[in-house]
Amino acid sequence: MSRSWRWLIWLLPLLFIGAIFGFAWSQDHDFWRSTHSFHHAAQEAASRGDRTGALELARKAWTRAPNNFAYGIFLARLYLDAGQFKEALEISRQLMDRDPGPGALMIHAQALDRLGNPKEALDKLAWYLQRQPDDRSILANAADIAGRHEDYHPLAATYYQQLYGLDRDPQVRRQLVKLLASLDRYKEAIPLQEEEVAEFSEDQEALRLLALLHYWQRDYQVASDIYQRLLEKGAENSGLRLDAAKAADAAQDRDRALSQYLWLYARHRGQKEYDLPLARLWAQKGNHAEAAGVLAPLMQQQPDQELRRWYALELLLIGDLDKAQREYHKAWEDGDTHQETIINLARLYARKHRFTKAAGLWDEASRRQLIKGEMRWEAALTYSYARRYQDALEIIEPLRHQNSKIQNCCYFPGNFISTKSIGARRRTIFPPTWNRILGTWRSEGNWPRPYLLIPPPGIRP
Amino acid sequence: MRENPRLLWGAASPRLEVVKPVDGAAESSHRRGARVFSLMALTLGLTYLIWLGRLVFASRGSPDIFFFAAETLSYLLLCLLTYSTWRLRGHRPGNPESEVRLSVDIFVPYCGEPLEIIQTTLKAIRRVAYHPLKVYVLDDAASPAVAALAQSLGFHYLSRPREGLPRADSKSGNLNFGMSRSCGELILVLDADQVPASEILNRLVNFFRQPNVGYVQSKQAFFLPEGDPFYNSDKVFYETIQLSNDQANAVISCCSGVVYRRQALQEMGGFASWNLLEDFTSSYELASRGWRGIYYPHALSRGLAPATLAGVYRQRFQWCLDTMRVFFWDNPLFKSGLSWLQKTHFLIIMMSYLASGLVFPVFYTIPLLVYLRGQSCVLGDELAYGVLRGAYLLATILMFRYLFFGKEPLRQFKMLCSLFPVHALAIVAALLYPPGRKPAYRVNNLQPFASQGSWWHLAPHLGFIALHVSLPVLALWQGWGEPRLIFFNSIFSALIIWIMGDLVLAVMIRPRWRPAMDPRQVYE
Repeated sequence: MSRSWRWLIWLLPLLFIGAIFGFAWSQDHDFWRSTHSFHHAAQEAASRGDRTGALELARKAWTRAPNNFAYGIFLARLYLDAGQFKEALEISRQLMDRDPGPGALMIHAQALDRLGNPKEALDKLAWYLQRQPDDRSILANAADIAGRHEDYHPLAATYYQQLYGLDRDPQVRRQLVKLLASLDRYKEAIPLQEEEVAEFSEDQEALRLLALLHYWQRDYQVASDIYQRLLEKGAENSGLRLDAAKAADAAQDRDRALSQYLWLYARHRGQKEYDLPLARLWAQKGNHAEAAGVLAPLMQQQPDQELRRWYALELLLIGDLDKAQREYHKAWEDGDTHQETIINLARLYARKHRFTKAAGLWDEASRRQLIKGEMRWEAALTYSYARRYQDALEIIEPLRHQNSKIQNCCYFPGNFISTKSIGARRRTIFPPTWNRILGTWRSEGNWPRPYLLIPPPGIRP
Repeated sequence: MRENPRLLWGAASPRLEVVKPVDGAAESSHRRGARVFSLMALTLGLTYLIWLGRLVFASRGSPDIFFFAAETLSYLLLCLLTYSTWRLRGHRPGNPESEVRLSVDIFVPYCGEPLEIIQTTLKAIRRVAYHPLKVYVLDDAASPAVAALAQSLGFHYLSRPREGLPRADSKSGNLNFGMSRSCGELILVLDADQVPASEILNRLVNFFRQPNVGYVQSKQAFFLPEGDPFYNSDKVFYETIQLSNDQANAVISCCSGVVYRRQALQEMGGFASWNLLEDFTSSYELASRGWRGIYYPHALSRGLAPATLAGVYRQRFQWCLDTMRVFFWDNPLFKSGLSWLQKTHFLIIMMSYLASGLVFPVFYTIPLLVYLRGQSCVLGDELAYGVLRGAYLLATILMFRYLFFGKEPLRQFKMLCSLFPVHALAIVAALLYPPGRKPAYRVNNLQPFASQGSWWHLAPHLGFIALHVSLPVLALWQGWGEPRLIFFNSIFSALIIWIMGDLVLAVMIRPRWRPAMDPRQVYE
C-alpha cells in the first residue's frame, strides 16, 4: 500500500473518536462521568446534608437512566425530604407505571400522604397488602402513615400488629405499645410491654413504661409494685419516686405514698409539686397538724386563694382558730368568695362575738345564694346575736316549712321572738348557747356538713 | 532463449544472496524481551480475564459471555504462542553447499496458468546447477504449448489427461502421478509460478545427509507491489513461526520450494490427498511418522501472490479449509506419533484461523450490541476495564514487537483480523466436508495480472465499518446508553475501523510495482 495513504488509516479512527467525544460533550458536559458515579455522588451529598447538590446529581442520574429503579427511588426520596412532594409523586407514578413494586409504592404513598391525601395513600397500600400481606416494608410504611393521623390510629395499630406478628421486631413492638397506649388499649399494650421487659430485663425505661401502662389501666397496685422494683435500682430518681408516690396514692396505699412524698419533701422542700400531695395525704390520714405544717411554708410564696383557703381549713381543723381566721380573712381580702371562705370566716367572727361582721358575711353568703339547708339556722343564730332578728327569721323561714322535725328550727324562732321581747337577756343567754353548740361540734367532730368543705381528692392538686 | 534480466537470481546474479545472520547480541536481547513481555502479557491477561469473568458471571444471560469466551480463546492462543516460541532462535545456521549427490526430481505441476508464467519458471529451472537431476512438467491442462516448451527445454512432460487418466485429487493427485513415473531419491516441488534460484538444490539437498530428514521447506518469496497491501510476504509466519516450528520438528510444507525424500513419501503412500492441497497435510503426516522436517529460512524461489482481494480470499480459504479439516477430522491432540510440542505448533496455526473466523467477529459485534442495548458488563467500571485491558494489550504489543521484530506483526494481525469472512466460511466448510468429501480445487494464479479491486468482497468490512460509525452517533442521539459507555465503546469501534481500514485501502488504492517485482515484467 502506498505510504502516502497510510496516514489515513491512523487519522480516520482518531477523527472518529474526536467526533464522538465532541458529540457526547455537546450533549452533556459531564458525559465522562458514569451514571453510577452521579448516583454515588448524590448519595454522598445527601449524607453530608447538601440536599440541593444531592438533588441535582440524583436528577442527572435519573435522566440518564430512567429505567433504573434505584436511581428513581433515591431521587423521589430526596424530593420527599426536600418537601417537593409533587415531584416525588410524579417520579413515583412513573416508577409505578413500569412496575408497581413495593419501593415505588412506598414513595408514592408517602408523597400522597404529604400532599394531604392519606386516604388514597392508605388505600393503595391496602390494595397491595391484600396481595402481599407479609410485605414488611409496605406494612411498616402503611403503619407509619396511618400512625401520623389520629383518625387512622386503629388502622396503624392493626398494621403494627401484623408487622410484629411477622418478625417480632422490638422496634415495632415499641411503636405498637405507644400506639395502643394512645388508644387507651392498655390490655393489649401490657402483654407486649411485658415481652419487652422480659427481653430487655435491664431496661428500666421499659419497666417504667409497664408501670405506667398498669397505672393508666387503673391497676394501681400492680403499678405501685413495679415502681417499688424500679426504686430498688433508682432510689435517687425524683421523677420515678413521684410516679411511685402517685401510683401508691392511687392504689390507696397511703403509707407507701406518704413515705415516697416524704422522701421528696425532704429533698425538694417548698416545691408545690411534692408538698401539696403530701399535705393532702396527711389531711386524709387526719393528721391536719402535719398537713398545716407542710402547707405553711407555701404561704410565703404568694399562694393562690384555693391553697390559702385549704391551709386555713387545716388550721381550723387543728383548732388554731385565730390563725385560721387570719388566713380566711386574707383570702377574703384577696377576693376569695368561695362558700367555705365566707361561711367559715363568718363562724370564726361569731366565735369571737364579732356578730355584726359575721352577720355581714352571712349577708354576703345569702346574696351569693350560698346558704342552704341547715346553714340557715346557723345564719339565723348569728343574725339573732347581731340583733337582726328580722333577718334571722327570714333566713330560717324556708327550714320551718321544709323540715318541721328539726327542733332547733322551732326553738330558735321562739327564742328570737322572746329575745326580741326580753332584749336584756339576749347577751347572757345566746352567747353561752352558741359557744356550747360550737364546743359540742368541735369536741365530737360533728360539724354540720356544709362547714366541712374539705375538697374532694380530685380537686386539690 | 533470452534471459530475463529482471529476475532476482537471473544470469546476472548467479550466486544466491544468503541473508546475513541476525546479530547475536541483538537476537539475544530480542529473545529476552520477548520472554519478559510474554510473561507479562500472560500475567496481565490472566488478571484481566479473572476480573472480566467476575463481571460477566455477575451479569448472567447477557451477550457479554461471548465476549468473555472470545477473550479466553485469544488468551489461550497467546499461551500457545508463548509456549511454542519460548526457545525460538532468530536464525538457523546456513547450510553449506551440498556435498552429497542424491538424485533429485523436480516436479512442476501445471493446471492452466498463462504460458509465460510456466515458461519463466521452467527457464529458471534449467539454470539449476545440480546433478543428477530430472525435471518433470506435470500438465493437468494437457496444453500442447506447455508440452512443446517442456520438450524444448529437455524436460520430461507428463499429463494425466493425455494419458486418459482422471484428474483426481487435483494437485496432490498430479504430484502422485508424477511420483509414479519418476525415481529420484528426492523430489523438489515447484509451483508453475515459482521461479527458483539456481542454487536451490545445492542449498537444500545437503540436509538429507541425515537419514531421518523427510522434507526441507525453503522460505517463500513473492513478487509483490510496493507496500505489499495484502501482506502476502507474511514475514511473521515465514521468518518466525516456521523457525519455531523447525525447532519443534513441526515445519509446515508450503506447497512450493520444498524438497521431499521419496522414501518418506512412499512410506506415507504418496502425497497426502484427502485435503485440497498436499502441502500442510503431507508435512503433518510425515511429522507424525517420525520424519524430520527442516525449514530453510532463506528464499530460494520466488513466485506470484494474489494481487486482488478475490485472489487473497480464494488462497486463504483453501489454506484455512485444509488446516481446519485437519483440526476437525484429524486433530493434532489425538494424532499419534506427535509430541506435545509438535501438537502445540500445529494447533497454533489452527487456533489462529479459529480466532480469525470465530473470535474476531465476536469482538466486532459486541460493541455494536453495546450501542444497541446500552448495557455492558463493564458499565460503571469502564476506567478499570481500560486500565486492565490496556495494560494487557500493551504487554501483548510489546511481546509481539520483540518476538516478531522487524516482521510487521501489526500488519499480520490486521490481515488476520480482516480475513474473518473467509476464515469463518472455511471453518464452516471444514465441518461440512469430512474425509472422503472435499470441495473443488480452484487454481490460484489463473489470472495473475489482474489488479482490479473487487468491492463486493469488502461488503462485510464496509458493513461493520458503517455500523461502527453510525451506531455510536445514533446511540448518543437517541440516548440508548450512557454517553460515557458509548464513548468508551467508540474507542473499540475506532480500533476496529483502524484494523479493517488497511484492507479497504488495499482494495481502494491501485498497487504500484517496482519493475523488478512486477509480474508483468518478470514473467515475459
